[in-house]
Amino acid sequence: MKLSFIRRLNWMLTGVVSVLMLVSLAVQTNHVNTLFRPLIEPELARKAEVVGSYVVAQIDRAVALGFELDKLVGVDELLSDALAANPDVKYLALEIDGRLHAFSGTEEARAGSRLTVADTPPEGESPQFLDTVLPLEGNEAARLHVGVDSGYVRSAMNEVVFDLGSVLIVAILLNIEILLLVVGSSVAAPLRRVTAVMKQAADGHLGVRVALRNRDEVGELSRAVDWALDSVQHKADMTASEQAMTKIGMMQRVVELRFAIFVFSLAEELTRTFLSVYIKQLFEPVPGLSMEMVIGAPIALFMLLWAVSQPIAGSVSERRGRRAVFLGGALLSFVGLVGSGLATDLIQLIVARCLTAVGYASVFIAAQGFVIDATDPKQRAQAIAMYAGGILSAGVCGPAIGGVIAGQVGFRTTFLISAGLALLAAFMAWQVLPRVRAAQAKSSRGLRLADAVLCLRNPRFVGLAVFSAVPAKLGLTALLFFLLPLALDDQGVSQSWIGRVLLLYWLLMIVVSPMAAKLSDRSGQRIGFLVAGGLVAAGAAWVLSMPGSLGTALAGVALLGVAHAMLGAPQLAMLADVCVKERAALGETTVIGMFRLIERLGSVIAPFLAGLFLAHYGYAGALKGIGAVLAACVAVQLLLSTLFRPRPPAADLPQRTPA
Amino acid sequence: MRLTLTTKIILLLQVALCFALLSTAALSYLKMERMVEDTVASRFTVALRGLAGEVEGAVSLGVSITALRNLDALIQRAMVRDDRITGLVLFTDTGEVLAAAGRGAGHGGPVGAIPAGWKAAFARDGKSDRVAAVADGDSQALLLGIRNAFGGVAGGVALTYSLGEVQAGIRGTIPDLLLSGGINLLTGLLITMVAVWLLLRPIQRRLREMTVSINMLGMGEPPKLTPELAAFAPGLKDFADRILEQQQHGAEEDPPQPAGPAAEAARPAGVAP
Repeated sequence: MKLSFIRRLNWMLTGVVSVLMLVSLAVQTNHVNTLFRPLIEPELARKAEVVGSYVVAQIDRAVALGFELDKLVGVDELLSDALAANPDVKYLALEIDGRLHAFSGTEEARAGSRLTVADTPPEGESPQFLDTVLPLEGNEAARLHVGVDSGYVRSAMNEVVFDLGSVLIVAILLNIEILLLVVGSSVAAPLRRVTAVMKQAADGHLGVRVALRNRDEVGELSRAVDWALDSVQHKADMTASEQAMTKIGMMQRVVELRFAIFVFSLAEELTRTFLSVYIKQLFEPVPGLSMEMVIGAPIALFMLLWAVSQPIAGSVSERRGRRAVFLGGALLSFVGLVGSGLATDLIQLIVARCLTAVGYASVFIAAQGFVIDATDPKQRAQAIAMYAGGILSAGVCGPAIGGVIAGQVGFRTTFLISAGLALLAAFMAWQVLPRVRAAQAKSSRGLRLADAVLCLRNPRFVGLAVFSAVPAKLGLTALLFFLLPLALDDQGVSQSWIGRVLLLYWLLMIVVSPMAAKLSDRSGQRIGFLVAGGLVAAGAAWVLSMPGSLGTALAGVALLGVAHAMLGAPQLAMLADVCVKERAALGETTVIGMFRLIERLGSVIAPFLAGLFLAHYGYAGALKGIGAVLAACVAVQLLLSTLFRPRPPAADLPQRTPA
Repeated sequence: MRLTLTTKIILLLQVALCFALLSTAALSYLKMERMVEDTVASRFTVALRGLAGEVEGAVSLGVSITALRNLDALIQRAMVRDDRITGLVLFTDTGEVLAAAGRGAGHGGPVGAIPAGWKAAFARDGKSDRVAAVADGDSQALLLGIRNAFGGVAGGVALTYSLGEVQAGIRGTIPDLLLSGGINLLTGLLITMVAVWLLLRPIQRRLREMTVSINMLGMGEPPKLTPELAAFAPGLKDFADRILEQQQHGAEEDPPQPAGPAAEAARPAGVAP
């Protein structure tokens, strides 16, 4: 059966629901604006009155002491002080006989010696300022004007719209995940099962059955197929049929597991935006270490334990089963996230984060192992892409929604919500993953020190792993997870905005990665992409270090997203090219495992390096320092790949003819 | 109960739509509520800073806050400026009340001292330049420190105001929000139903055609393969050929038997024996 219609169906349904959500959001925002404006504007006007009354009281006191109003000195400073204490007031002006005697505030409000608020605005436009007029005692010709921006409510609403936009992106991605799950498990997977059964039967394995319990059209089709097979049942080939059926059933579970992985990844990604700020709140001085280094410790330990636990969890899952390790990991993460939310000092937080790291590693390696077990080589790439897609979706949703949630309910409650999600993922996996592990033809051998030595003797592997992959992880952790949230928080940027900035990175990764992979394959250029990606990442760090708050942050993060999208697929493709001997000796899985393990050292080093730079050079200096490190790594990588370029085959040398 | 593909997908898309609409509605409401409350609080903060500034003016000359004489007059002047202020309290850095006015002054706590909740909030936030806020039912208290000539905290000033009117105004928007949310959701449901029905109709038709063809196969008749069905299910022809071949082979080896209970139970509903 041709199942290409399923992808079209998914996209069309996603499109319909996304447009619906967008329109609903616009209508809702407009309605909320209309409902709340009458509550806010009178309060703003009243505030302007109160501010003005204090200024008027001081001027009146001076006049009561005998000073003439038009000869008072320092009125501008008095108005400036009042303005500085009330940033939502845009101007204060003392008017005597129709002319401005003193003024403080935005120059847009005045034209020479009079206020522009007296002018009629162009047709169709509302006045720029809401002006409140207060009389002074004993002087009918003198008035104090207090001006508030009439767009204050509108600009405050914009902040809400951005938050709602983040929720909308999450809702659309959640919709995509739900559709994939529902259409996958109700339509795609059952139809694949029917197709596979029909094919097996056509090949002679007549003992296969679809055996679906669905009560929809697909279920009726499956019962019809089973009935047709029952009419010619042969028991002789049942064994071969049973093996075929096991594989068919497993693919459906991969689809269902993706949703569990999405929910679990979301649990950790929710906390990404504010983790370094939260750690800073729990900071206690440690002798001999700067604050910045201490703040980096929980993140570094998390990355280290995550990297180290994966091979161990992998071999445990092969012995004990993927289900047990997944469930154990999810429960450990649950405990770790609860502990993180309830921690009252840095030690408790570090212990909780270590538990979360081990749980995190266990879940992902068990899920990956199940995907490999459940699929044959022809489907494997697609299955892994499906599993990885769940993680990437969570990477987009998590920071966006995490920032909004943390801004509303606080950091600790957000950790508890994350813990709930981890538990939900455990429940889903309990439903989806089979109790017994699938039979293995051979089990993987795990990573050994000798393997690392063999790989590291290859200069091209060193150039790729140590000077391209490690800096990529270093840049990601240092810039995006450590320095940027701290720097933006220090500048007073809200958690919601920090989440949106991080969201941009993942969006670009999703969009640019496939394009970069295709371009790299088509051109055959690997080194070019790695060098370009490394340089763009270094440039991103430089841009992030420039003053300008949100604008430069967005530009820098966008560049970083593009840079890392350029690196991902070419790195793996190049690994296959540079490690021919190692792959033959150790196996592809071992070489990739070694590559990933070394790569994660970048995440471990990043917080300490960033903390060290931060302690000595401040935020701008730390960002530039990381940029310099990334640029230096690109130079070394280029040098190694040039010096140890593989020699072309000797096809042009004269051939020796046999005697 | 038979749940068609259309029904399943509509129900689950409604979950996604409900989540989006409910969460955006809740978020909008909470954000706007905070915006209104912050705007109201900022207005009273002006009065609070004004009064604190006046007291600081005297204290910064070196006079102890407990020695000031005109505190009652200062407080009365501040209360007159805004009729929504329900109470004003001047207190020392240890929480001892120096002067108070209004019905909102002195909620609980020992006589002559500020309430424990105020003390804790003041210790946390009020001693810096930040205004500390304590909510108590429908009343809100704002606290700010008063600094002496040496930059230390000599005492503080607390202002209380009623949140009742503000909260009533905010809660008054809920029926409107619920109505518009309901209309939004209903419109979304209708559009989703129509869209899903239109998108799934051709697929459901093919699946039903295929089911009918395979049921005929089960009865020993070759299935009717239309060009559309053949394009939709290329493997159906081979499957049908194999089944028919086996049926013929089985008929040659064994004479036909009446259908047993297992075959009867497996026969899809609506298919005649």
